[in-house]
Amino acid sequence: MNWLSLDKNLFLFINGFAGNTPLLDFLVQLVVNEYFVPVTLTLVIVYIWFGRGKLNKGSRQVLPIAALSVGLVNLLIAFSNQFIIRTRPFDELVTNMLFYKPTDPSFPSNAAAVGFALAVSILLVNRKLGVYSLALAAFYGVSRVYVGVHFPSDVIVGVLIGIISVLFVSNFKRSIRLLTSKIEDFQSRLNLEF
Amino acid sequence: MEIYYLVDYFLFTFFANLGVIQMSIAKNSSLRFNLGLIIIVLSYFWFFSSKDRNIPTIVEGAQLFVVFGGAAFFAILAAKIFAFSIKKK
Repeated sequence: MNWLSLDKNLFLFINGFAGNTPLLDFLVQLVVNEYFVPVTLTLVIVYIWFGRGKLNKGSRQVLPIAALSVGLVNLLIAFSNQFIIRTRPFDELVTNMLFYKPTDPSFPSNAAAVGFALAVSILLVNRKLGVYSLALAAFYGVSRVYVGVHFPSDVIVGVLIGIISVLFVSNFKRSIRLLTSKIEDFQSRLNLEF
Repeated sequence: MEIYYLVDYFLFTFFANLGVIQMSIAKNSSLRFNLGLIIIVLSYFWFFSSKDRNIPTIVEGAQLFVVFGGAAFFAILAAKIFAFSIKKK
């Protein structure tokens, strides 16, 4: 069995659960869209930004790290989409669809990459919030397979792109610190500190 | 159609940001923390129950990012005005 057929079999296994458990279907359909997980994880970053006193020193760096990482993720995926055009699972297999049919390439999963870029950024500055964020991002990734819009390998590569982007961006420590203080200066110039 | 989606998204993220800021700056005030939590829960409930959010739109991720940024900015302003009016009393 080669990896492509393993990927398809794993997809059929996960997608096979769709439509069988109303509660699970409801939860997956709540988080699978473009809004729930990205907004929730960004709100965690907003919480960290304003909760400075209660959280670790230096945690505000999460904002530029996350923003730059998500930017890098989008660039890498746009670049990849110029060369690798993989069809969606519903174009190849009999699929239980619980979501609309996207028209862009399946590989890699943009949703998983953005979710993990945000979650790993949070993990870098706050372990507890980071672990919850990673769990949510992982559920987001699996839910994309569950509803029939991604193969598992799309999600796995998306996750890797998200993680590698954050690790790459966070290496530029001086620039991140500078960017953080620029945002802080801008905020205090507008008198929007609490 | 798309503009209504963006307006919904703006309102959702504005109130969710406002709630998060209230929770974040609550310090010892559990009233402010709980108020923030209620605002977040209501904003999520309204956004995800008022329409089907799992349908295709032509709204791009970059547009959502800009709308989120604008909503966050106005939420900070609103929170500042709210904090100022409480202090005045």
